[in-house]
Amino acid sequence: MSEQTPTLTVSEVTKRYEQFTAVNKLSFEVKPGRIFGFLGPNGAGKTTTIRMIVNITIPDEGSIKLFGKTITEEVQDKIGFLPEERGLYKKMNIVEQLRFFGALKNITGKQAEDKIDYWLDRVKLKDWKNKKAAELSKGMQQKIQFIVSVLHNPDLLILDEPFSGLDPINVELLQEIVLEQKAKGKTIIFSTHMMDTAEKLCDDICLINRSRKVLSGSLREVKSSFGRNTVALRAENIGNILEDKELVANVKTHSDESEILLAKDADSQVLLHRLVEAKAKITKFELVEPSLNEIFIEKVKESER
Amino acid sequence: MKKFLAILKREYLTRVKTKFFIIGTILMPLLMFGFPVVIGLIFTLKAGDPTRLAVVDQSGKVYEHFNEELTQNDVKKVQTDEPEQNPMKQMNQNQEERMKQMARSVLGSYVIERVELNGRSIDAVKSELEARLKNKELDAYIVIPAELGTDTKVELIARNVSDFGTREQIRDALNKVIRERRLDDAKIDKEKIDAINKPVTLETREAGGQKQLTSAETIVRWALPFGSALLIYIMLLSYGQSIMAAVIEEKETRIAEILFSSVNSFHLMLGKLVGVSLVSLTQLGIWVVAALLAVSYALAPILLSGGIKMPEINVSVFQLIMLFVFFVIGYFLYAAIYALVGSMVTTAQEGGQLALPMILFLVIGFYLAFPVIRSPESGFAFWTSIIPLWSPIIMPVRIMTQQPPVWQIVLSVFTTAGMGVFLVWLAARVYRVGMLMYGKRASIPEALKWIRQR
Repeated sequence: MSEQTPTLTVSEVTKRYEQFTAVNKLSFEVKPGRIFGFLGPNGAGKTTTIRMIVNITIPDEGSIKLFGKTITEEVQDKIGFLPEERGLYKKMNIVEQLRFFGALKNITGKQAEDKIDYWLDRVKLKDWKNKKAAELSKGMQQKIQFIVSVLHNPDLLILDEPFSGLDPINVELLQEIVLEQKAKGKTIIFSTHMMDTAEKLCDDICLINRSRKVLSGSLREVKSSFGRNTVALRAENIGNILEDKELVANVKTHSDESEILLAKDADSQVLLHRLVEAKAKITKFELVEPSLNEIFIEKVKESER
Repeated sequence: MKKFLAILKREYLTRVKTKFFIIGTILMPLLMFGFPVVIGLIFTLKAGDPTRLAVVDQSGKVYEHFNEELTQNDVKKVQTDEPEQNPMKQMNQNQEERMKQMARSVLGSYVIERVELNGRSIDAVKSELEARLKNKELDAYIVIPAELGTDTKVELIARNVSDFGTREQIRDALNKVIRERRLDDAKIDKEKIDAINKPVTLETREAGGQKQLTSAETIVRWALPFGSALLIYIMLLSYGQSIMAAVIEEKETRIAEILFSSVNSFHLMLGKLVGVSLVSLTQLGIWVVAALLAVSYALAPILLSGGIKMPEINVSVFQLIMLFVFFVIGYFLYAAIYALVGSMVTTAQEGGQLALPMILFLVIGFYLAFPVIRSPESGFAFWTSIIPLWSPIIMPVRIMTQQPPVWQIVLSVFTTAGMGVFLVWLAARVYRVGMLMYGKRASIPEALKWIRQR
């Protein structure tokens, strides 16, 4: 496999359910060794696309290639998958469960035992090895499910909403592991609608809405193409300046700071000038890149117009 | 293949290792054999004292014998009216009759006293006995008339008339004694009557064979395929739910997606089905081996001493093997139906109602076997033994009665097993497409649509 072969190529893929089109002529590529954010609002077609990638369902039109090949059972073994809907066998103990899922990915025996011990230690669940799944908390179960997806050392890791419902410490832990995997040269596809985590982790993104692609590219490109039209402002006595529609497109207020998206063709200097004129007490005025969250909202709205 | 085995192993081990399985394996035979024994014991329980019975014998000819009949411990003689045990009749006996028979076989103990008229009128004696009943000095009395004609009426007056066990015993004893008395009166030799009534012996021999077929053998030939079909039926009733539950398990626990992303859905379904079926076969195997050991342990000394001869049964090894083969593929086929139903529903309870009509095919098969036994070489017999769902019953029946050509047997194995595999494939499709996509119960037309969908 040369460096150039994309890990995943989705071309012109369409999937319909009766009258409803879940995915419509979707194309994108995932390059090896990168973290790819597959983003979109609820019901955009993310899960359907992922199901087609892992061969649970088959596209009606178009093709999907993994490591340059159409999917076979052999290729399936190189993928680790953490579905959004996930569970464990409640009455089976953890180690047996992991052995079973390992066997389904063709790793058995000593190799499997070593991996299981390594990963249980890594996610700090060593003492739970012989407990039944039903005895574990939801967060713990989620970490076990995560192990299931990485146990067989896959080249491609597909994580559908991996951090939902976890506490910050565990989110940190799993993010660390994901970055570790990337450092080992693995490719990670990671689907979410939590933009701040996506922003922190992803190299490339693909945004879909209503079964179609809205935007794709490297996170860097996407952000710079949006330009620096956002102002982070911390000020008092600003009056009604921000209500001027010619100047300001959108204002989002965090605790003591506002994130101001400028109107099209508006100049940030004009805004600064007006604020100074109004005798506002400015403690922070900074031109920033739009957050992925803003891009997401903007683009999703745009695509629905 | 490795993955298929991994699934099979998981299904098998997680079930066999449960306490439920172990306890069930031990408890079931105890219940099955223990229950009749307990019932029998309960019947023999005679709470309280012996029954005090007064007999007013106006004929003067009955008392002695009657007393003997009731007090000597030889009740068996009373009960066996039928000289030959008829299996059909025994099967058809209803519950009431069975209870009566059981009650008869249990000897109640009696204290019998003779009451003489001594010149008093019968009414005077009756009222005196009536008074003793009231004072609980007596439990019952009977009045035997002077004449023992064809319509002899004996009165039984008891404090407790619902004790049918006692009533049956008294009636049996009276019948026997009075009947003998009448024969005596008519100067007819009882031995002669018995000789005249002796049933005909029908010697049965298979064409071309030398040996005479014992009645035990005809029963065995007829009972083996039926027994095997009955076993399938019973096993489905008791394990069908767990087959369905196994298929539904991943839906409820949301594991399906991980499984389908790692393993072919047909392998998954087949692994599940075979794994769960092996659990029930294991349990059955344990019971059969235990029963064989128990029987041989109990019978060995008797057989060695030549006390009784085992009835010689002429069933070939081939026939037994085929019987086993059809039992296994038949069970597999019907288990596959449960798997298919399981793939369409979201809970096992819903599935139970859906599966039952399918199982009725098996019941119809029982009845189809009768015309087939009558004419095992007819076209009807051929087709019913080839068509899956009936073939697991009809083909063994044919093999045991009049062996069909080998190609027909082979064909039947293929259609039956093939149908089972086809149903598993169908189940895998319905499961994968339906449940993942819609997460709801499938109607039949929807299921059909999903089968066609990719």
